[in-house]
Amino acid sequence: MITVNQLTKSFDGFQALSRLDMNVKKGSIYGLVGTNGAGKTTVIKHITGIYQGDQGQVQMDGELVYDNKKIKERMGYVPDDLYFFGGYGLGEMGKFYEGIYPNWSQPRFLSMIQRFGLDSRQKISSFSKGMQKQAMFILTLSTMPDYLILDEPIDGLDPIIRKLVWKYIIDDVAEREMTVLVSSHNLREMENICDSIGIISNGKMMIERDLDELRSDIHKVQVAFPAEKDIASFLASLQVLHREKRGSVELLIIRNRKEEVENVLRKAQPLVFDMLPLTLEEIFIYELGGADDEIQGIIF
Amino acid sequence: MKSRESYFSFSGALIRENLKRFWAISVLSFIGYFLSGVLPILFSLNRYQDPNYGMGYMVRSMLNNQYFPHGVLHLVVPIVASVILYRYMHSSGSSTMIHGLPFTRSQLFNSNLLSGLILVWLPLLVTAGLLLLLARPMFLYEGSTEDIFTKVLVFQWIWKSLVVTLSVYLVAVLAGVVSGNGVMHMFLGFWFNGLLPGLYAVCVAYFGKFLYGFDGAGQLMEIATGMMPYLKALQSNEPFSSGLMSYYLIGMVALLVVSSYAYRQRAWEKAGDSLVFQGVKIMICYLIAFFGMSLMAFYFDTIRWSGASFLDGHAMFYVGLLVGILVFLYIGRMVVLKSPRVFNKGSLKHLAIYTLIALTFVVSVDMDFTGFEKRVPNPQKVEGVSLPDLGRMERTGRYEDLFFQPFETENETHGLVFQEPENVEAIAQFHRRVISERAAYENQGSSYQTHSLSLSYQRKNFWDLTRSYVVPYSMIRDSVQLKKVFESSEFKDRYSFQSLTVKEPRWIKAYNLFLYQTTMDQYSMKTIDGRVEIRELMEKLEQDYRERTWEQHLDTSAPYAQMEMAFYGLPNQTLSYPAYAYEASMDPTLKVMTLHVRKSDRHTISWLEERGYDENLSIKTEDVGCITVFHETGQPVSVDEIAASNMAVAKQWTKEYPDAYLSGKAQFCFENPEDIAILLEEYEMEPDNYQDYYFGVISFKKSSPYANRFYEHYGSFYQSMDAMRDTITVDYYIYFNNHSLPEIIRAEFQ
Repeated sequence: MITVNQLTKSFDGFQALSRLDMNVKKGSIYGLVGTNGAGKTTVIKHITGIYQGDQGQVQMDGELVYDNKKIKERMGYVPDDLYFFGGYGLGEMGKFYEGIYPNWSQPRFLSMIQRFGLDSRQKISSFSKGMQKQAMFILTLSTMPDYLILDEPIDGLDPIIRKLVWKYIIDDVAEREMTVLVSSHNLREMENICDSIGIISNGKMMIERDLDELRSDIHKVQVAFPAEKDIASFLASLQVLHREKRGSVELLIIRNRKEEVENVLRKAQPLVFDMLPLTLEEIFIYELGGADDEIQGIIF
Repeated sequence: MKSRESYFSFSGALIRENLKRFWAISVLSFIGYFLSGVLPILFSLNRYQDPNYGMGYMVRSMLNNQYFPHGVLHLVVPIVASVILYRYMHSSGSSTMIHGLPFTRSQLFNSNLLSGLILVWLPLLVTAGLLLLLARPMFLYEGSTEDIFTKVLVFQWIWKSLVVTLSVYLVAVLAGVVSGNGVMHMFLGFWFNGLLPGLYAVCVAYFGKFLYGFDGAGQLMEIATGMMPYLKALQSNEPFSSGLMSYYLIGMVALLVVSSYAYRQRAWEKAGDSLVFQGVKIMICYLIAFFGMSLMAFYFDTIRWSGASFLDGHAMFYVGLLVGILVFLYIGRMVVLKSPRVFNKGSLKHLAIYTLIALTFVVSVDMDFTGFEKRVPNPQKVEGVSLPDLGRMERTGRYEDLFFQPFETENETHGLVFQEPENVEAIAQFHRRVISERAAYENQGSSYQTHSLSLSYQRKNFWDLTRSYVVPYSMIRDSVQLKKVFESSEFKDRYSFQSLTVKEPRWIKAYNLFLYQTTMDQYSMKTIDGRVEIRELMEKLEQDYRERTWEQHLDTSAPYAQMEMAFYGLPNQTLSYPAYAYEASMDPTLKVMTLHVRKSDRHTISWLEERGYDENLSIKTEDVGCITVFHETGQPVSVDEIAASNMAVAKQWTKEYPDAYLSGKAQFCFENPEDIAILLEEYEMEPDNYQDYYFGVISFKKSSPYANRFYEHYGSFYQSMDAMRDTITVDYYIYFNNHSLPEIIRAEFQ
């Protein structure tokens, strides 16, 4: 489990993180989303022990992460900005990783190289950006980490490779209870992968929930009533986040349990009653009530 | 369980990887050491031991760590190694990746440090191994017994090289830890390695400018170079003393601790900035301002000396100082902020702060807030005082300490330290007089002859108090205190010939000084090399030395003769007054003492006359056709004055040599043999008032034994004058001063 507790960090007077709390459950895939400059990478660098916060703590399994070699041996990190030793091929980098990660799996390393179709002897610097990212994934996943931290990992990967990478990750989560933290500003991708979501804005954690929990609590309903029907009294007992009339059909976003929504609205004898699934984007927009322009900017 | 950080932990995997990645550093460095040091020896294997081959000088300078190519490598290789090993710190991507790997910060720092050290030291060790294999007896010159290519010397070389490169490397690593990018790292790597001595030298320049009596010259080199092993190795071929070695070790440990701590505190988000720590930014900015303002201040001061200044005193210096602060503070801000946009309130604030600091420093030195200038120790609390210039006023090698002391190491010279209370008191009294009369003789102007004088008081449990002054020669001449000290037994015993380290010279030569200085010495040179005669002559010289008074010591009239005494078996140190012909000798243990035989040295002169060595020691009147005496007043001579001169010779000169320096000066040609004899007897070696003195040129008859030789050397300038007289005129001046002017000159120039 990854726990971030009241983490605060400033850079030259600019408050990058402000008393941020975060919890990543063991064996889950946690999506960290936010706009550019929200603080995602800064949080990740604290979690990976690169930065030390001005205040607050970052722990994994109850141990402080900062300068903790044992924790880092169990952690794999794919940063946004990649770096490899100059002139090294994937094979040489693998040898180096093998020497410093006790859980290194050479069979996995070799099979992944083959699966991804990379040349282990070619200099990584001569790879394309996407191939370099693949190389980084191969190296990181071959360390068999208990914690996998990914900072905007999917940029630059084609859809096939993307799928392959996610397959490895999900398999590891399922088989080894690997804990994954992924940062992204692409909600559509996160929606299909993550178990829980945290959204950061201006260095603060705005929302942190399990995705299922979120979905079970908020619903999009399309209803139509006879023209003379007054439904205000019925809606009063529900937490309506958004109400919009489109012709004779009312579009309602309601935060209540599903059964409760159905009971209340059916009592009003609607002419049309449809309960539709919300996308992650819509959930967040309506959860925040549209008040936060930053969140609105998340929409793609 | 909370993780424990070990400050001494390393990662073997990282060290191995670094050695694998950066092996080229060691290889290229070894090639440099090999090509410049080992290969020349290998190329001459069959004759490098031959002293006449000259390989010895290269080997000696190499093993003394004073060999230029190795000096460059000792500096460049460690700095470049540190830049390469710690390059990952200087970009966001690499620093993120590396610090995301399973290493603690200490492990990263220590492992990279050790890797770099191995890469730097390995080529040195291999080179040392090759030198050990090649070491054979080697001598600098025929007959020398000093083997300069021993295994011991090779070990000394490797020890010194390891210390030097380690210190350079550690300084460069610190520079890297505080830098944000590779360019700044490289720059600070070089700059930091010279920073301490540079700061010291600049501060000494301020002290030397403002503090009357400050003596930076003697100790400056010693202290400044001693601050860094690299500079010390270049300056001295001696092994590092135990005291110095302790200082270096403590310094290196401190560097290591500071660097390690700074690395752990370093904020990785600052990778790419010029400097990472705010405090270091301010420090570098202010250092740039300090060096820049000092440069401008001293430059403006030199303008004052060139006469282009409209301000007096230190005003130009302060103008330059303020200009320098303004310019270089902003330059410093641009460097540390990596931006030209520094003209803002923040910079103004720093300008104000720095100006305050700088002016406080300079003004406090200028106004002598510490009372430096007036400080004269209580003679009763002083263990001794040295006054090395007392003997040097003769301006010969007679009183060089090298000849009079038992020596411990080659580079140590111990001068006489006066300990008798009367002498210490007398010197202190003279010192007080120098301070109290400063204003009077500084107003005298620069025309009068001066002499430098330094003194050093040894105090118990305190550093020596050393002062250096330039005082009028008249003050020295008239000083009762200095007379007392010179004529004391403490001084005379020290420099007696009975105190010589090497008791007897191999030979003694005597000659006329004028002929010697005009390269005609062979015409008067006498050599005494019989053992008995040498002993007798030494006794006579000793007698005259014991009787010599302070006035005779300072007598600037031409000596009766100059002598040289050759001593073998002395340490190879440079003399202040070398006999030039012999210092080029291949035997470095040969040292030649020069001394004057004064006209008052009756015992010596009698001995020389009795033995017939006096022939040609004096210039014979009958060899001289004329002595032309000129009156120098220091005033420029106008063209009208030249034209109006009623001296036939001057008119002749201006016709043929319109730019002749001597044209237009009042002059008279003394041709009467009696007059010539008086002038030859009474001339002096130098003027004492540069604005009013007389000087003469001797025109030898062409029949004299050395006239033609003079002509080859000097004749062309005086051609027309000599044509009128059938003489050869030597362009070497003899002097007559007002305080002892011969009557015949006074009469002619009234």
